[in-house]
Amino acid sequence: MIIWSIIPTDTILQDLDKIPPPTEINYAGSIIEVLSISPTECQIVRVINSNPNAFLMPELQPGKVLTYKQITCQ
Amino acid sequence: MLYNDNTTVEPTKKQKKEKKSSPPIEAIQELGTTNVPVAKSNIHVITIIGQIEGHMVLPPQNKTTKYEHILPQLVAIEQNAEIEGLLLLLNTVGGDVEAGLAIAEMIASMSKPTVSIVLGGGHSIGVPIAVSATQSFIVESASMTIHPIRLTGLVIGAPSSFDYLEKMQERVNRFVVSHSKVNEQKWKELLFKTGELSRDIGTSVVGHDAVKYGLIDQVGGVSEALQSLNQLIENQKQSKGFKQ
Repeated sequence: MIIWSIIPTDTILQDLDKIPPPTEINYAGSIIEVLSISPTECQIVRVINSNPNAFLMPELQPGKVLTYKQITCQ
Repeated sequence: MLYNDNTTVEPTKKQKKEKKSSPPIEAIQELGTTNVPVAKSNIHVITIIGQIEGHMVLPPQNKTTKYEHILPQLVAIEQNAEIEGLLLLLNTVGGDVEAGLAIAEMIASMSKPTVSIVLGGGHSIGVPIAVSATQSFIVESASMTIHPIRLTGLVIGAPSSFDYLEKMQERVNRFVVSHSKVNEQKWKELLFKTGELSRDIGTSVVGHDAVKYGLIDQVGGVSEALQSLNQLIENQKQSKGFKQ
């Protein structure tokens, strides 16, 4: 992997070791990797689905914040 | 007794009916959110912003575009009959070379018309992505930094020899030259120019200059880009009509 950017590599990779490992959960018919951002919320990191249309769904975009209540209520 | 029983059952049935008939209210009560009505469009917009994130999840101080999400999105856009064109909005500082090249190759190989607009900046690996569209635009104030990979690159899990970086650079060069009007000589001249960037060799190409060098097709913003995309969609519809 090579990073080619105008931002210095040190700035890009600062705090790289502080990223917690993501958790895989089932949500809206897909497997999604999420990172916990608070005791009640998590953020989508990655969507795993073989159906390409799942990647166009607004509720499955990386960065979207989900509440754990939403996940369990689906 | 029977009469009394009926009267107690009826209101609960009504309540159940009311609950079922209003899912938006239910969503607000249960989740505190509701869906915003979506207006249908025949085009899709993808924003390529921040760092292009590749094999590594980048720390949260970076704003990133995740290539593993963009690639299947492009497949869905290519396959979906309701989507007729793609508009790319670029404001990127660079990122993973191979992830960027993957996005660029996917866009270049799409059969549906694609138009890109460089806004703010389309630096480093943003250049191949900008030129991969059928028609590319740059706003007057936007800039594109063209600089060699090896000086600011980080190499993980690959031999960091000069040869390897040279080959990587060659892949980018070939893509840019074959997908834009810039010739190889001019591209290499921009890439290795000294004195323009304070800490690096290379060039910062702004708006009209990008068009002058042949990197980008036209100077323009949203209205010009949308007009061009609609024209491309119309042309494609007509050419399909003639074939049949």
